[in-house]
Amino acid sequence: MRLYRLRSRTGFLIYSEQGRDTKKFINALRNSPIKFFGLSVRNERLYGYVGTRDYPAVKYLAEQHRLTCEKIDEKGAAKRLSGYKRRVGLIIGAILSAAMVMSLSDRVMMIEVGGNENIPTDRILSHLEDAGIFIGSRISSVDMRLAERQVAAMDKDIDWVGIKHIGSRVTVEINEIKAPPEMERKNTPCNIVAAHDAQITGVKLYSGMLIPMVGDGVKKGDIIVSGVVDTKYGRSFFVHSMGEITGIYNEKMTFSQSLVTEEKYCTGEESSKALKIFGTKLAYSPPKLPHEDYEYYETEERLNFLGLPLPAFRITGHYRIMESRSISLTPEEADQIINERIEKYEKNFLSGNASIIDREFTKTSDEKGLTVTVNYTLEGDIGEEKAILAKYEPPQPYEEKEKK
Amino acid sequence: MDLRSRSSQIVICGNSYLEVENCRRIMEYNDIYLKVKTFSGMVIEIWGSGLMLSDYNTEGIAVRGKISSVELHGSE
Repeated sequence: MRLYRLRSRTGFLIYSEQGRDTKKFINALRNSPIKFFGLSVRNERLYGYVGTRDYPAVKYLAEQHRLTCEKIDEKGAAKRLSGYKRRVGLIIGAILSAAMVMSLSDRVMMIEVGGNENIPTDRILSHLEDAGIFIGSRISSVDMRLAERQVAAMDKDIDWVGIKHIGSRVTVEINEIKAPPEMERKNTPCNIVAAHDAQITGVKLYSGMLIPMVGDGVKKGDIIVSGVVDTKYGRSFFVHSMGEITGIYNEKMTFSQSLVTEEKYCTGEESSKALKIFGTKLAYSPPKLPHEDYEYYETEERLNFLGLPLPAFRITGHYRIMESRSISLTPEEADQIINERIEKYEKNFLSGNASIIDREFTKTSDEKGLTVTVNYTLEGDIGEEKAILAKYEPPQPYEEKEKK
Repeated sequence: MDLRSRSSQIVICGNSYLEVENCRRIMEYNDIYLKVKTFSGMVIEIWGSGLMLSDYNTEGIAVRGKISSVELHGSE
């Protein structure tokens, strides 16, 4: 597009009714500071264009040369735009569009989080929100370097954070802290002691010195395998005791169930609606809440315009109204509940470590509830490692010295 | 513009545009013919059709249109 077309220009027509020559006028026009263009002669008439501001000077010059000057045309951006000056809606729309574009170009429209394997993205977004970066926040008001340090300080699992923005898109790169693998200290001198009062039924000894024999009874805390090993030459040294010690032991558990219980149940659901724009929440449909207890959770839905995501969210708050009621149980129902709990306990806590040899139930009941005490006879691993707190001395080749 | 000697510089772009610097006076002008005199006394005659005149500065002229011939008379 040629820029001179935007310039305001006025077309003029010069002619003489007395048949005067226009050459003198052209030379005078050339020698004046007026710039003209598109000058052409058709049928003894002179047509041309000058800047709109210069037209009075051209007219004056023509009158001096006894020529007639007429305005025939007006062109340029100003003339074209003047046709729209009474269309207030267009002008307001253009101003609003420009203001919106300027405003949105400085807002965060999208946040991309990458590099996180174990830390959930929602947790990182929550940290970013605390640091002032969220959908709709102003980019120019956020110090990215400060936000990086703040987010890294907020979460102990984050090693470092890199935040950058390209336009209105913020990219967050996370590097997680990788914990070193746990070291198995197999050289630490230790004993194996009894974890329960038990009768030893089986021993598999890999290292250390067995003190009681199979069939013996041990109390909780008694040493079963000692980490202090004596040699036949009367010297002692420390070892890391290793072995599998199984035994039979008793365990007592008590389960109780009240005959009158309180239960909460949902009587209905209310919802509230709000609009979140640039991080500001505007509620437009508050809920009608009764005075009862309720459970609350929110769902967030991002708004789109022709497929383009906007920095605005529709937030729906869900209120589950809860009421309490008393439930009276019969002894049979209470017994059934306790049996279920016993079954769960045995499945979760006993099945992996020990096998149940026998169980004895003792039931007691009163007006308040039912109590069941279970005496388990179990067979399983009864040994647990207990470190020997001794000063470390490097191993010495004492066996060879003894031989010499 | 050559201020030192005031000699004319003529620039022709194809047959549609022509610039003459150090133009002193327009002697004849219509849509097919243009005759100008330069400061050095040389007369330039331009023939063509639909000739249109513009002044891009006060000492020169620009001619647009279909230019068929340019004749130079006199000497610098």
